[in-house]
Amino acid sequence: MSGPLSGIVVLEVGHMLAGPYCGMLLADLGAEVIKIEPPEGDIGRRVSPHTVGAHNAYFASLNRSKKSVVLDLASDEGQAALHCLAARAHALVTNLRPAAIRKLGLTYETLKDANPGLVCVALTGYGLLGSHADRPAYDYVIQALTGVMAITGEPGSPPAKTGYSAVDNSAGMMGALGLLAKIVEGKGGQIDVSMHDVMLSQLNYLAGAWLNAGERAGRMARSAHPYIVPAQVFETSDGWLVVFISHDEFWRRFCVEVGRPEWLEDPRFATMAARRENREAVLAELVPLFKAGSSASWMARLAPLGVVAAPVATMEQALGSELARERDMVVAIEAGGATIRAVGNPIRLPGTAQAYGPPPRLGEHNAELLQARSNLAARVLARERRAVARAISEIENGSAEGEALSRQLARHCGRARMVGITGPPGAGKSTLVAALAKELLALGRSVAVVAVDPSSPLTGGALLGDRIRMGEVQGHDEVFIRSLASRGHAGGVSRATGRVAALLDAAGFDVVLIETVGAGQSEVGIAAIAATRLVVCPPGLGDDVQALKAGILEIADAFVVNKADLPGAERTARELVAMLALKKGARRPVFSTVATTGGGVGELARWLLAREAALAA
Amino acid sequence: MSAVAAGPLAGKRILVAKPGLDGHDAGAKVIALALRDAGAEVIYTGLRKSPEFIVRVALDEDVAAVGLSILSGSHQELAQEVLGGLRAAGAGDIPVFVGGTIPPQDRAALVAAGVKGVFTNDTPLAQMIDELARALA
Repeated sequence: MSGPLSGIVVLEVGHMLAGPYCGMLLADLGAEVIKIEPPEGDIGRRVSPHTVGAHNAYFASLNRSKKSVVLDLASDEGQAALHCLAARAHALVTNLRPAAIRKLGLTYETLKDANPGLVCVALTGYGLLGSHADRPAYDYVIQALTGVMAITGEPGSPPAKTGYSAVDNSAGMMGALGLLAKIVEGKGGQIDVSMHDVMLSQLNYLAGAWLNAGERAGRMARSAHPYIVPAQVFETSDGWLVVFISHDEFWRRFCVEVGRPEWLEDPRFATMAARRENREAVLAELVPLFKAGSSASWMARLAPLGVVAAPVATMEQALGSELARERDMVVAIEAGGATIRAVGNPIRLPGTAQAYGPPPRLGEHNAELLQARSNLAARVLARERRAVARAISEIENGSAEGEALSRQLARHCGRARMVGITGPPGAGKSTLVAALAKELLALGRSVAVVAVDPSSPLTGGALLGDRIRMGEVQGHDEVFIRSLASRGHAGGVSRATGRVAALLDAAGFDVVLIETVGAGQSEVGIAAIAATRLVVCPPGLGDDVQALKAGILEIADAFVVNKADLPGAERTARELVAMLALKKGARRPVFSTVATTGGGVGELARWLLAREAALAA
Repeated sequence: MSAVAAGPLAGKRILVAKPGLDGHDAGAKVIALALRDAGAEVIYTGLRKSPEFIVRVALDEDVAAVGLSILSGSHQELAQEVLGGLRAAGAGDIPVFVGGTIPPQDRAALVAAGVKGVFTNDTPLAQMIDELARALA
């Protein structure tokens, strides 16, 4: 859509009027509004007895130019998809009950993990929180509670509601205003708009008179203004006429026109204050006067004087009026072979072409918005391999989507065991990783592997060859292996390694094995990622053990002397044990393995799982 | 890494795989190194991998392209199996390139099967990099 809000994405979890009207105002201004509907759809799709094309007429009047996706927000999948959509949205508007808003996680508090910049608008009856929060509210109820009904209608007749839905519409506008204020501010947060507050706010000068001067508001006969006389509806010979004479100069012109210049000298009528004091006397003169002429004849006399007056038109007359045509306020929207006629955007933007799209069919945009990247998180949680792979790329590339994904999946992390495998080049880390994965599989664990190789400092390219030594375990369905280039990051891992491992955790792998680049003394980046660190030493490390005492040997939870079938292995293991004996603290075991044959790897795997259980306890 | 010059394949992850039974991967390694030097992150899997295995690695590694090095003469069958596997996995959008000893008369059939480009041992490396960079742009 074109318009000033082009590029702004708004999610709407709205039903009936207030939320949908808010969304439609924003859509008319160019925002991409994505309506999230339950499987049965917005109830507004079923309200009117009339249809236009495939659409319920009520729904069509409030939901043009939007997209629709169906999500069951009570399900994990629905929540994951919501978080995905929220990650790329600017705002969310909802007018569900507060209890439902909380239950479905439609607050900033819940969604800020997915997108800290999200503006969350809650349009509720009585506020998002508080003693009245969960009482039901409809436009009628709020008009009843806020005094609006008590001041509407003729004195002595029953209280009346405004003829249209003043509360819902006003709340929708206030929501849009608050939303835009936060977008201008550039910060996410919660917006709490209560319909009760909105209506109290609109009692502005009436409320002020009571609060400051003790003046009660009441129903005024013929909808008369409380302070200005004459300003009300008058009956004419053929209908009704509103006359609003707000200045003494207009009163003067009126008196001359109707042939009563003496009223200008009459102390009861001469000034605005006098007319207010003598309302009954003024009306006693004017009511029969207006009744004597037709509405059209009065308009013909009053309009040239600049006296404000208007015949009371029907809605049908208003929609068919020359003015409505001139302002292009009744628009035709093509919708799948049908033409929907609707009232257009009241906010005119000269120079901007106003466009209107059809209202969406229920779930019409599921494929566009949910099958692609936006539900990547849900697909990761379902451990869909291609989605996991794509998500890792997004995270590795530091894209906005990747950042959002990491935040969204954060609450699903923390279950997997993170095992770091580090050590100098040539120690046999990749072969050991594969052998370990095989043993863990045999012990009923699913395994993800993150294998980091160095990037060229000259070209930025990398040769990721760890898979060469990982053998047939790579083809197992319960194994997922991903090669990462270090991309210039020091410390033996890449910048994204931790977040990639976390994603694999969220995807439900039991163990994540993280193989670092061939590491020297100071490459200890793995310590921040993995709770368990294995340092793999090749045979013949010999005197180097002393040199390596600082650095990677310090971060080890266990040592693995791999290639234990080669000369020097036994001595290396002995020296490690001797070195460890010098240090106080927890016992750190030394394992001897022959990864190429699997020798000793079973023992290592069982130790890892026992440690896993101990850490979890 | 401020000294890194962005090569024509910078940021691209490319799988170099050797399906089939031939036991020589010197050519595949030369290609892998050339791609690396052009800035690509090259995943190399080693010798004698099945088409099914190659598809799995291509998916898990989320590569931008798959390069198959084939010297055995079974290029038509092996390429088709890899292409079919990728399509079946919903990853038919990953382009597949074939290199090796490919007789000129077989080139058209490979392309018709869906292979994006064919490189033989007389293709200059720079030309291969250029073609890849254009195809993956």
